[in-house]
Amino acid sequence: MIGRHSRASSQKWPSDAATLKAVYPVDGSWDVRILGGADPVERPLRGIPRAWTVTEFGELSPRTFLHGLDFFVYYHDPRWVEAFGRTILEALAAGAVAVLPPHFERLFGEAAVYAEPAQVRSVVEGLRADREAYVAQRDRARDLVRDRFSYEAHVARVADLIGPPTAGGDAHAPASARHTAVVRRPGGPRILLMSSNGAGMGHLTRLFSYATRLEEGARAHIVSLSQAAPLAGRLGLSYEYLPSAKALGMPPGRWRPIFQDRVGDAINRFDPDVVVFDGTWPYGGMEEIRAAHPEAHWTWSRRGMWRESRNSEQLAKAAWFDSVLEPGDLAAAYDRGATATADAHRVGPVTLVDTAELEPREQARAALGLPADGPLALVSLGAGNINDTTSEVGAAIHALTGLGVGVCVTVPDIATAGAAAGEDIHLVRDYPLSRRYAAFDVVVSAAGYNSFHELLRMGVPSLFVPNTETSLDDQEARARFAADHGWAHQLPQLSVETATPLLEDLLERGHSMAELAQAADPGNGALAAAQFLTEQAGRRS
Amino acid sequence: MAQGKGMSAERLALAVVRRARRVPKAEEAALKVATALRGNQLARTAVSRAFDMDLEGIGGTVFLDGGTLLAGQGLDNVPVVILSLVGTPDDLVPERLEEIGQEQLLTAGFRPVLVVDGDHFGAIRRYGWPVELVLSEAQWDADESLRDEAGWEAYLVRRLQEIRRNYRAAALLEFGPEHPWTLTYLRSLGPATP
Repeated sequence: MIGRHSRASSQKWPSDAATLKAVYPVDGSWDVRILGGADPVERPLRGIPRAWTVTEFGELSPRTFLHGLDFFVYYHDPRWVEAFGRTILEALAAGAVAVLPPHFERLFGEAAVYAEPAQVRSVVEGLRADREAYVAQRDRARDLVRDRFSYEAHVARVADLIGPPTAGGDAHAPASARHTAVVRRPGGPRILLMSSNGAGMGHLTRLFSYATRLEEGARAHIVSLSQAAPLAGRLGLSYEYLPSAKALGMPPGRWRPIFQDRVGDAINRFDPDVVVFDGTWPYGGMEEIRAAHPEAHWTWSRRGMWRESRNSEQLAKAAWFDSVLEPGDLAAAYDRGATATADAHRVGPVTLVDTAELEPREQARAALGLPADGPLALVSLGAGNINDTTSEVGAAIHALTGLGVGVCVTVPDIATAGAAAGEDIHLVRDYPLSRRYAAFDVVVSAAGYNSFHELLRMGVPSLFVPNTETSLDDQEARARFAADHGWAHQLPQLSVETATPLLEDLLERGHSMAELAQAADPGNGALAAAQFLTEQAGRRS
Repeated sequence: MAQGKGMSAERLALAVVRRARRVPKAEEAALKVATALRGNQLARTAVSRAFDMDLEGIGGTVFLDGGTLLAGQGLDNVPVVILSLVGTPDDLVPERLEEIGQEQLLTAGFRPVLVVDGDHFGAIRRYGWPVELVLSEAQWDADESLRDEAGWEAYLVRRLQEIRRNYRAAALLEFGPEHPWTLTYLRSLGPATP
């Protein structure tokens, strides 16, 4: 990727088409990115080439833009005398290799590569083919920029003239200079955990599981695309919210710069040693953010059990990260998805709550405001009409009522509509609810990663109704595995007739079934995941 | 090269138009097609997104959810207005939201993006408006690891400016305890009242 950043003034651009095409190919052979507009080329090139990506001032921060470039190629009108070339300096500091007209050599010396316009293609292709030479040039440039043009160099230059600063050190240095993450802040490891929005709470809950188990002294900060982000506050974690493209009703291409700027801003302030992204679809723009913040170690946390033959192209995005962390799955033996054989650091199944934190039945019921006596069931299947027995929620409630069991229905924190309600239905809104699972004699639940593992780990008699609408999560396989091993029952499609005998069976011997799952549980992998992240913090460059 | 392709496509389109004009009743047919397309939200969305119209500067076509109170055609061209509730006491937020909702309903003249510094997602979700969360001054002061040396006010100014740019909003306004000018502005986005 090559690019340039300048004002859209005619003197800042080559004036003839041949030079323009030689240094900024218009045939799509290179990825050409422009920040600051490209109006001056409209006349010589009869329009702005469609092969270029042109961004206007203010649409993207220069830092983010420059960090995404491999080569900063800057040529201007031959009649123009560039007084200095600050944008070149910024590009060099950002780690791009600068290719410039030879007259800049006097100023930038070995920090850049010099070529006449006709030689630009061969110079760029040569360095592109020789990774070692490219890295050497990039590092040489950074060193020279630091030695000659850094704030420290400037202070030293002034000090030579008027003596050293008397007090206050760099108190008046520009903020941007002080939070470039070159100098490590004091204190323990800092982990920034970023979640996609997803359909439920899974991604966020997994990050909470890691964050709450970091070693003492470590700091975690959540950046989430889910409006459930404030739940982090209840767990004593700091958080920020960034609206997703979907929440804004915005095309992804328009949202991407927002995503880059917002995450970049959070990273600048928090200065993390590790950035963790939990999701199955790393967003476009993440690669550029990473390039802009290379000092942090980037980890992709992604669960397995992807639907067979789905999303395999996403696995290539592992290259955007330094490491991949995979929370294990009790049903891993049924995993036929793309991640099953992919490289990853694997830990046991991750849940936010440990079995030791499970509240006793009486205490849990009291905390949830539920009757102390009598059998109670929890239905956690998402939205549905309780009076409509053709809906799964309605059918489950009808079946349970027929068995004389009181019914509770979950209200997710990010529900957009009111939950099912009725005279005999208890609405339950609590987080994390799994610590109070002992309140229920049986649970009817979807088979998403968190619910599945929380229910089995806590020993709750469960009827799994896999959500078949998920784009990637193979809930059917997970539910089938549990049923095949006698840990729980499952129903791909729930009706009053099919659910009633299974619920009856669970009320009778569900606890002994769940004990089988508990016996097979290797234990909560959250602590091992947190330790892994802390280890990665030590790899900060 | 790409430019050359574009020009030849343009020439081709002009040639087609010239020929079509010679066909009897072409104008009548074109009018029917155009009217049908104008009334079709899917077609409008497809065309406007494909051609990414009017993307520079303030206003114009902005693809952003307008919330649950507005419906109909042409919402992508309703001005976006950033309304800051930063610093508003928690218990006053619901009535502010109701006030904004009323103005939006009465004027049908703006799409708000709310800026809050606390957890008001549940209340705002009822209206379906986009919402941006900024760190509150208390959070900023309490947590050394979240702040920078520039200070909370500089952070807030930076974020608000970014938000204004990101949504290409027509205005950035405070919806604080007293906001007569904000209401005046919002009402000016609706039809003139006698």
